[in-house]
Amino acid sequence: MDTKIILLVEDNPDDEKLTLRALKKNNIQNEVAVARDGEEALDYLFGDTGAGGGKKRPLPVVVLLDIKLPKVDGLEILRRIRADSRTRLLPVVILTSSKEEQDLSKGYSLGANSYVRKPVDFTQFVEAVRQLGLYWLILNEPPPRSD
Amino acid sequence: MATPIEPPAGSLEEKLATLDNVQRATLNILEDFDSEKQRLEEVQRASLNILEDFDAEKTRLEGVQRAAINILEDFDEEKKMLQGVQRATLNILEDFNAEKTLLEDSQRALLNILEDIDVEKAKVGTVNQQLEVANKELEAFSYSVSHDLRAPLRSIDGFSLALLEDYGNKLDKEGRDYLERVRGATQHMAQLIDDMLNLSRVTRSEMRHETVDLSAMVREIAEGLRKTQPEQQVEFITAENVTATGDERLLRVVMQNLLGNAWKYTGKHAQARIEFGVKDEGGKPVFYIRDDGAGFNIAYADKLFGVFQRLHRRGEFPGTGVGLATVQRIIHRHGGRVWAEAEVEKGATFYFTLSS
Repeated sequence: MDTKIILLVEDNPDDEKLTLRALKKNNIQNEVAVARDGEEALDYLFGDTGAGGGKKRPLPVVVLLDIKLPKVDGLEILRRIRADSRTRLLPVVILTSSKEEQDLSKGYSLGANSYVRKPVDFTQFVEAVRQLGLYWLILNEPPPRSD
Repeated sequence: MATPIEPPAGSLEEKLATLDNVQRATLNILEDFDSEKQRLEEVQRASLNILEDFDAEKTRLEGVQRAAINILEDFDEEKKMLQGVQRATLNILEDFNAEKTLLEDSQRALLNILEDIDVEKAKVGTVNQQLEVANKELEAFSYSVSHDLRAPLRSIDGFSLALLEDYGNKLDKEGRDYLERVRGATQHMAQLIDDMLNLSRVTRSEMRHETVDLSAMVREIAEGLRKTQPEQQVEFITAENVTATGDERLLRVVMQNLLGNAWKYTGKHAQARIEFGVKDEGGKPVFYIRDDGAGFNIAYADKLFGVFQRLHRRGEFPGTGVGLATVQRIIHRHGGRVWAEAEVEKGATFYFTLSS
């Protein structure tokens, strides 16, 4: 139960690379799983490892979720996460460029734990990731696991 | 007593006795005649009274007759008057008929106009619907644009910084300068996108009418500015209890822009003073924000509120030239005016009114 895995749901390969870089710059060594669209995210959370035996993956300790995703919308992913008893309490941080009020309120009403806007300035982004890492991986107590 | 009178027979005494009787009878008859006469006189008097009464009655009846004749004459006059009224009424009825026909014509004309108005209204309704659709599309477009444009900007900035950090030592000063410029331009573009998005939102959003505490708003914004750059020495003088009627969010954008500008353009002065107040001009309140910073040349004042127009170089003071255009648009939506006075290096004062 020591492995604190971060699930990054991000379709933009540049943003993915930059986020990983930001995590590395902050010495966050945790394993980062990347889902590149909604379908992959759901598969990671609810599907099996594919290694045979129907073994379920351990749940991540936090999900960094982008809203604008192809195939299945980020907010829909959030809805499914909250709807399933296995992942109902899973901390979800919405990480997005959107400044629209409606995304903010929809995100929170669907049960997001946090809403962080991705700044254009990379230095600020690195700082934001540092704070996110510090909070969600170290300071915050994750909810009890159901497995 | 119908016995014929014969000379009395007998002696003298007998004859005297008979004469006495005759005299007495005659006196009786005379008395009877007297009472009859009196009776007749009474009858006569009664008759005369009756005749007098009849006369009085006759006079009364004549009076009644005269009165009746007068009444008949009055009736006649009344009848003539009524006939006159009747004729006048008939005339009025004819006029009414004419008026009625005119009114019916007007009514028909009005109904036609109302039908036309209905058609126009339906057209306006359609146009309104189209505008709403266009607005929604614009909203969605702006949202997309802002979101989708930011992502590549983030990539440009991020990887430029990555280059600097990881390969900076392989670049000379010129090379590093180029990358810094790339980053700077990226930041600027991000700011432009945000400002333009705000500007378009200002025109499209619905306006609320509420009482806004401007003094409190100024204090909050000033606090926020202090937090971003605590090393800047600025004295804020805020008039107390200044309120206005308008849309709170939009007015906040105005104050953020004006105070942000005041803060920015006093940035190069060691000590600065920013003042917010309201003065009365002809019964209307005029709000102002005054700073003693860099100011500007009033000769260029007509460019002040133009979109993307700036009176300072980006090197001197950062900015996109959209802030004051946004301020002006909001003030105009409130039915007010905004203008400025300034002098180079002596500061600037921005005034605005809101419709009461």
